[in-house]
Amino acid sequence: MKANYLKPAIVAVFALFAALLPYITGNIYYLHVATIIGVYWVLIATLNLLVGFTGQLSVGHVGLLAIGAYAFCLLAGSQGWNPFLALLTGGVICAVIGLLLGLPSLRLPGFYFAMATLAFGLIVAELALAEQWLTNGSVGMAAPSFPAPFDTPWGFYWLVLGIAAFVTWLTWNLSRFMWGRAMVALRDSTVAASSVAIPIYLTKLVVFVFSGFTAGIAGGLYATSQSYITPDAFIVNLGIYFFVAIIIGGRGVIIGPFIGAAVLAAIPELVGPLAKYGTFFYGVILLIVVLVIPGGFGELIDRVAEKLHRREQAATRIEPDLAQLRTAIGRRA
Amino acid sequence: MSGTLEARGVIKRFGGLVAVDNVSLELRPGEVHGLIGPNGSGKTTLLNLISGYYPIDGGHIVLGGADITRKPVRERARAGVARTFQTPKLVLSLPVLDNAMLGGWPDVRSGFLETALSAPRTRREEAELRERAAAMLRGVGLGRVMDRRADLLEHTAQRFLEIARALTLRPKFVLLDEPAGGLTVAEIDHLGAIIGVMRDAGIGVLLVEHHTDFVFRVCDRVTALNLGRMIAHGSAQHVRNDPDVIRVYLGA
Repeated sequence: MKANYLKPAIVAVFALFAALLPYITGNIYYLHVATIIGVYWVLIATLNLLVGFTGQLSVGHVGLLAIGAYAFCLLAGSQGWNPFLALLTGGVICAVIGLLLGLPSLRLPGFYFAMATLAFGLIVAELALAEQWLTNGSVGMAAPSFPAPFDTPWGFYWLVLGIAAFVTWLTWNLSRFMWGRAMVALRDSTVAASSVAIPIYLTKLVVFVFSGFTAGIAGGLYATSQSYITPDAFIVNLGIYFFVAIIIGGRGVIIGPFIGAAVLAAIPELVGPLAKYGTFFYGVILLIVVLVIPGGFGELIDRVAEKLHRREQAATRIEPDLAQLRTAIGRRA
Repeated sequence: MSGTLEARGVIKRFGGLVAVDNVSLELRPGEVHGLIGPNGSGKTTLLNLISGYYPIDGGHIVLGGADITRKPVRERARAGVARTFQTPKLVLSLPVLDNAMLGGWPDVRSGFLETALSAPRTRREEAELRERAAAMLRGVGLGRVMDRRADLLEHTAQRFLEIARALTLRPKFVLLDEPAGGLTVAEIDHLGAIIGVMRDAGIGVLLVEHHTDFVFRVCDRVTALNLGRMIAHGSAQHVRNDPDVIRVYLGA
């Protein structure tokens, strides 16, 4: 079937394009924007598992991004750690904080969980400003860069690309095996999920901790990509933008939110004189998506693909194969 | 008795109403047990108590000699109690095959990280479950629509999908909540044949059903409820001829 080759082909072409981007464009600025897209993607890809697949509406991941960024700057900067170790440690710290935040809040119904994550985002932003002994307050901190060969713009771009590709692969695996089905099941019907013994709370918690980990990694990469971080980089709006990227991209589709991430990173950067309208454009796109294609771009692509490969939807005739049923049931492990 | 699923003196109240009043029944392996009664007689409530969806107000649920009265739904499912729902509860955004595969969740040993890394065990389990679920789907008669999204399935086909999912769980007991609702005569025959296969394989089936002809045709034993109380129980033949059953249920 044609459709089976279409998606891998698109992914392959895109991967090749992404890998060769530094050769395609000599423009450092475009490369910087592409790097930011990759950094956002490291966070958004797994946030999509939480929001899109599992249906837990977190708007506070910016808090985890901030913690990851500050942890990286402190450990790799003043503490003089190896940047890779510092990056990983930032991820682990965020995973632990995700666990501590998720333990009480994931028991709450959807809306209240969203509020709890929003409160978390606000608290982190305030602490980054207030706790000067740790964060330098509004003065901010310099972000160390990675050792060679990742210390040039293209070197760092390839590092981010490699991490983003790896995270995408992890996310894809999680979505296509039983854990992914369990996530979607508890999102769509907790009754169905519990009837097949899926541990609902535990599954949410594990996904949340995982998304916390990559948010921490994204934080460290974000710091390096900006060279310098201040608390106002981590305002709660950014957390809402991440959330919106998933809505724009289409929840429950792996690649969909990438479009959202790209739009999010590109808009404030590329429109130049219109930069101050970046948020405005973002809002307009969100409004259009919600009103016209509620499933996001991901669903739009799926719908187009379905139109191209239209199959007959004959009425289902139930024709049991009792012999097969007998062997299938009888085959007890 | 070991190996059975029992409700012992079960009581459930909703506010002042006693929905299930001191009902006992014993589900045996390899036996189809019918549960009949007019609307509001407590059939579905009893099923929800046995499968754990409602907290119980009195009495016990016992599985193979172990008291599971306070166990959550998922532990009962893991212990081999599967069920279907009056209104099918499916994951509508997933394909039919994936829905059936969900029944295999208790057998998944691959952890989260193992799955993320696509470990050999994850892929092996995936292949096994896929095959098991596909066999069940072909068995119940949905072999041709395995790739279709569950929300594109007719209501009646969704009932069969729920049965396939329940069977993929490799249950000891299956609780069917009005599975014949909305089915054509031919489909009801298929359902009866599938229930027969389940019985022959040693599964204990609890059949909650309005359709009394069907119940008396496929069930070995029947319990009749009225207003939350047991009015008759015993062999299908016995219950069918019970004067109380005829009066409150069949006669009217």
